[in-house]
Amino acid sequence: MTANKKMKIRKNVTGYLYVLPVILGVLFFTLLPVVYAFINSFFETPLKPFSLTDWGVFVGLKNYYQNFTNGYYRRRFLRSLGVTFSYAGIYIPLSLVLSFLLAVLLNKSVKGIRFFRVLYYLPVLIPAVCSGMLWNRITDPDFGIVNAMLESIGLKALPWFQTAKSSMPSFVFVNLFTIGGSMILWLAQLKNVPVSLYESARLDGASKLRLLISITIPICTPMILYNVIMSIIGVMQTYAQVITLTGGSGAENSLLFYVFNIYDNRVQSFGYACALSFILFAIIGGLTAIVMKTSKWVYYTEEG
Amino acid sequence: MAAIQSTGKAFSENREMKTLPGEKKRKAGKIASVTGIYALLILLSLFFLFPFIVMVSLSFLSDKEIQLQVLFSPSGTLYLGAYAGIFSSGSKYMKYLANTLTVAAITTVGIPFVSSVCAYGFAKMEFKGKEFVFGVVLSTMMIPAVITIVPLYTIYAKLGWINTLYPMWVPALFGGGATNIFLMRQFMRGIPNDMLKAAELDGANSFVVYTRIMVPLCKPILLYVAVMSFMGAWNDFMTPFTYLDYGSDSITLALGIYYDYGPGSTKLANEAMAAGNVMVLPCAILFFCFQKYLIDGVAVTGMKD
Amino acid sequence: MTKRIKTILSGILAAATIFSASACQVDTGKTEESNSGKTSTSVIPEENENAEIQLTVGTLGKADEQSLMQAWINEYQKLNKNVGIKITKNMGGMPEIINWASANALPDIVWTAGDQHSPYSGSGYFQDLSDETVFEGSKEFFGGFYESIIDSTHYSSEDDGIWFVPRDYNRLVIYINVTAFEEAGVEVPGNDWTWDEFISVCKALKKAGAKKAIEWKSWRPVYTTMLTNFGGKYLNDDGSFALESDASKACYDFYTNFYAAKAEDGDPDETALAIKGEGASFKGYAESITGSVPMVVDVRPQLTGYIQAAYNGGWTLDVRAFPNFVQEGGAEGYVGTGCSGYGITKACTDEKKRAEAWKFLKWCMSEKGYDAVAYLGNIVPAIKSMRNSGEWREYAYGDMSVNADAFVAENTKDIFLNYYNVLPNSKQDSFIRLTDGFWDKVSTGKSFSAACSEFKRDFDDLIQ
Repeated sequence: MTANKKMKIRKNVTGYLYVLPVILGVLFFTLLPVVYAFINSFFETPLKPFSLTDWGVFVGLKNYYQNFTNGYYRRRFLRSLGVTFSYAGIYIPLSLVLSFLLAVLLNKSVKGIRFFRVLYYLPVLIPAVCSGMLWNRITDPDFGIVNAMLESIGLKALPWFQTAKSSMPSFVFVNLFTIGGSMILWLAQLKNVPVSLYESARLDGASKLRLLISITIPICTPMILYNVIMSIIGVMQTYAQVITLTGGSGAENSLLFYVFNIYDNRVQSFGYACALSFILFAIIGGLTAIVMKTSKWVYYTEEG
Repeated sequence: MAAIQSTGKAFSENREMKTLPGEKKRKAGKIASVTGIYALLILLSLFFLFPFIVMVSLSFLSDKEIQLQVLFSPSGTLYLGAYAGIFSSGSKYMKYLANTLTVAAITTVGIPFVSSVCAYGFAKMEFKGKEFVFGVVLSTMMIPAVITIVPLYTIYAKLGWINTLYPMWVPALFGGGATNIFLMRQFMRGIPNDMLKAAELDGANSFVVYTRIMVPLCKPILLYVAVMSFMGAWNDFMTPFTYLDYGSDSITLALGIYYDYGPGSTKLANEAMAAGNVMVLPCAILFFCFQKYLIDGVAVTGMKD
Repeated sequence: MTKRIKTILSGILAAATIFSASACQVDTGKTEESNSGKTSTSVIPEENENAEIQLTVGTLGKADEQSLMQAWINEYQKLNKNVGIKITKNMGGMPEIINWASANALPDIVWTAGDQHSPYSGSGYFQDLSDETVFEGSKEFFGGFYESIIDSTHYSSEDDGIWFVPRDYNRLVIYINVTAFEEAGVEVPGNDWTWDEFISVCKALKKAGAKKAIEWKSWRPVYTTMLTNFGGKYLNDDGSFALESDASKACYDFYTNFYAAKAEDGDPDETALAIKGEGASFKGYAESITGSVPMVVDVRPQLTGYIQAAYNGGWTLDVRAFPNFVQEGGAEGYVGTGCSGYGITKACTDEKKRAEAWKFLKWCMSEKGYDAVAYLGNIVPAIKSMRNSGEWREYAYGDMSVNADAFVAENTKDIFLNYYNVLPNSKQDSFIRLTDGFWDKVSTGKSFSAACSEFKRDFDDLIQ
């Protein structure tokens, strides 16, 4: 072997040695369970202990198509999809717009603005468990303080999570407290916009609103794209917030999220849960692909 | 652009001179808008602080007052019994705390180290198939956690890891997560290669280059990843929820609070709020100390984890 | 900045070491959960480590469940030095035994309940204890239990096997805050009160300023009790849907009124008298009847929690039997009766171990066994001979004790809570969820016909 080839081989080996942990991690902790879930989704395992050898009854694609043929499963499946998509459709645009506006507000150079930035970020530090427990207790119909406070101001008491109609709006409201997190991202992005653009536009007589629409937003579009994709992936997997808030799926299954359906079946029908997880994987992949394909509106500045 | 700027400058000079008489009006308008902004900011801060205010004030109500649906104790005293109950020797809270501290300590030290090593491999090393492997690692970000966590139960059962702390930190040490690797690689790419090449010419092998040069330079991003890992491990709910049984000895804080104080529990609200406060406290302290790094870390890479 | 980081990191490290050190001092004995600063009973485990036969037990995670089993174990080990028993698993619910089986950690004896064991017994997790050839003396042993309890040990209507040893005789009772009654000027009723008397007591309490009269647990046995009392039922004996009836509608409407937030003029008698709760409001009595809830419907195992709350809060607790919902024609009303118990699992295959486990369970559910744990006070013996005798009746906390007759009242009939036994095993769990979902709709303003037709539609899809 020539010296050159030897060096090349050595280079490859050292390179792979560096990334060995992540390769092993992906193989063992990601690929292996996915394959196992895939195989298992073709079996029916009612109340069976999980096992790597004893697979249960082979039922082919039944776990997949019974989501459409069997009315009981179909209703739960479609309900979970409906709830998840409606939450995504309401929450993602709302949080995007609100956090952006908040960032614009906090970008002003007023004295003490830093203090307010920290303040608005604080609710993000509360984990899902504590937030769910908190809201569960304060919206309790008999002993919760929120309704008592509303009534003391003179407003009407709200049903919060007791009725199906009010559960989803209440849930969106509870999650709006954490837009401080996105706000920080927007602030960082806003600082990247070259000030000279603003100056020259203002000299041309542009109003503040015009500045916002024609300069700020187009430059931020890469961030919007990233935010939308990450939010979709995150929102599709909502589970911890719901189960700590209601302990289940809300009044009349109004908060029956997709992952809740999976966890519900995790122990008693493991094969069905695996099939559902794969369907979720396909949905997330499909949505992300759609968003990326239709991202012609993203305006990339020269990357620094 | 330059032409516009120069004419603009001249234009603005003329404008400034012209608007001297109208300056007073402008100033008054400015004061009004500033007070308006402050009013809005204070209003919003009341909104954002609401969860904290409720959590703290409810935790200081006594058992009898908690049923009266008030925020502040009518008798004006602070009741510390809720906190005393948590730290008493008979409560399980201390065990939860110990478990969570163990997991958090291991991940806070391990994840920055492992992810920086792997990111260094992706950023600075050359090997065949590098782009492909990196692409595979990135694509794992898109895989929903559910599809990996649930089937892993069987595998952990065979290894005997159910009801222990291993599932919480062992997978994290294998690579540290695709997002962390991505962040570190972005940062490392921004470091010019000249320094590294110079060190290599002096005879240092790649690992020495990594430890002596890369790591000190990457301090801000390492700190950012460390703080994020700590908060992630501290607040993690799904992993313990999947792998730990109800009465297990390895229950962490998040799961413990859910089982003891979550929906369907019969404990009173003041104890629940006290438990929640104690859980949030370390993360809040960390945030206050490191806020500059956190916000800068976001700005440096342009992306959040 | 680096100096600050260093000091902070060392501070965190110090805090961590302090926390871990104090965590090591956590009392490893089994302590009873209680609100802060109150006394607790704990049973320190004793072990016969060198005994030749070692058995493992799985119990519910709640502290008083563990104390109970541990007390039995300690006492039995004293009498039988050749057996060592250990509690190795705690559960929050039945599905976890599937996890244990997956991890090859299924204990020899596992807790179960009469209304929760069917899917698991039917899938082979437990052994049939009615088999005389394997479990000697089973016929005579089980003959001493209450009939309704033994009825719940089968997993379907066609099964005659007994899949676990029932432990207690849990009738629904009403716990009463006597101090609040005195303040309201309402006379505390007797154990033979009828349903109408119960409603008038509720109304009087509300008039005196109580927030609501009773904390009526939104719990399956309670719903089944009321449904049976009104004359309705879920399924016919052949497994067909039987909920669409006027009787069921009457029960549904009763519940809608019972849980309503406010009563308007002209509303039926039983409107707005109850809150859904788990007992926390009853325990949190604040020295005045205004804004409190003076009654709760519950079962005996919760007595210990209530009596401690009463003792520490300075009010008097008592118990009354479930009101007699007199049926048409004067027949007695029905009361839901459940039980929990312990089954021998499929993991206990070794003959010696199995025989010893059987001996252990037989001893626990005998007069000697029940007397040994009477001081804990959380079970009513499931054997008929101890109905009116035994140390369980003398249970007291400090100087506070309650009326024991309430738990074994004979003026009402026990009902069989396993209404789903007519269905095949694999459908039972889903059917139970459907019934829970049906009753959840009561407070959401849905009409009975809408809720019932949804239930029927789901049921038809489930059975197909």
